[in-house]
Amino acid sequence: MMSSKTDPDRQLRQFLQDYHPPVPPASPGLESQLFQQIQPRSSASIAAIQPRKINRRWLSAGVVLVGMAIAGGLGLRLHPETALTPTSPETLDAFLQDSWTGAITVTEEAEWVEVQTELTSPSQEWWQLTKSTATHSTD
Amino acid sequence: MLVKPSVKPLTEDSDVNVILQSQQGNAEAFRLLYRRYQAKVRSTLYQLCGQPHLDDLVQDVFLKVWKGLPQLRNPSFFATWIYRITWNVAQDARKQLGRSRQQEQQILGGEAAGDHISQEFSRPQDSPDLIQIHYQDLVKRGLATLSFEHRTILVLHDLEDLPQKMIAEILDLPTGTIKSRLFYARRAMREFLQQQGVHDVF
Repeated sequence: MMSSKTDPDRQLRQFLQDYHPPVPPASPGLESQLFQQIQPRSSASIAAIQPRKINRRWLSAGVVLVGMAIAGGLGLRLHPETALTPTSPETLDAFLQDSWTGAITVTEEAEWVEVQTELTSPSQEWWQLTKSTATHSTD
Repeated sequence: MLVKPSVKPLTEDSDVNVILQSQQGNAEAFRLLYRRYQAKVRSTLYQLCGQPHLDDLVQDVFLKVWKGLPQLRNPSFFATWIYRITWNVAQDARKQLGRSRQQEQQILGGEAAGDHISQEFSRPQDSPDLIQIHYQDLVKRGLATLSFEHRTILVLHDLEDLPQKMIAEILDLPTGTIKSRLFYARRAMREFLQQQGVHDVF
């Protein structure tokens, strides 16, 4: 281990401390001059400067609310809507009825087809028969 | 039987109690704080900025301390805090001084002439008092040759005797930076002193 006599850092430090320039004394009126500028503080001004303490109840209520909001948001994210919601049974029935009506009963369009077929190929009676049979069976 | 007074007089109080009372607006407690710390503040400011406006700078530091005291949360950090304010005031003063560089150069020119005289009349063989004055003059000039950053470290560590950790807190720098700056500051100071003929002390 280096002794203080041989350690150049310690020697330099000692030299600086021994020979640092003396600090000039303060002017005699400095202290009174300073304290003339210092105004005693009122408790109101101290309270205004110091940060307000937060009520623990409000803090915990806030934490709970924020937690609930986050949980709600996460819940929505965890259960995303993957398919369209089913329509009501009444709507579904009505839809099915409408769809079947066209397929089973003779519509104007179907009659038109018959006429067209008659005109284009009158010899094909078997086809018309089949159609008309199907038409009658639904009535 | 003698009963010890439960309330200690303010003069014997610990720093923490005096700081707490000052925070509450007790000007007398603050006066005590001023008397305890003004020498350190004054010395640091003098080593960093020199003599011009020294009283004003000291006053500036303590006014800032008084205004900022209610915001100081932990009184045990007061010493670090007041050194930090001192350093900030010194830095501001240095910037202002930089603006009037021309004026500074004139003063330095005058000092250089004075230095020449002091070198001429303060040779070690003259008298012990003159050696003292000569070395003091060298330290002063050596500090002036350092950069502000290096001077700050050398003043706080080697002259004010503050630990490196505290200096790191005051300057808001990592301890490694403080160590490195101290190394270069000492090297520069040593080189300056050796150039000036101070070989026997190193």
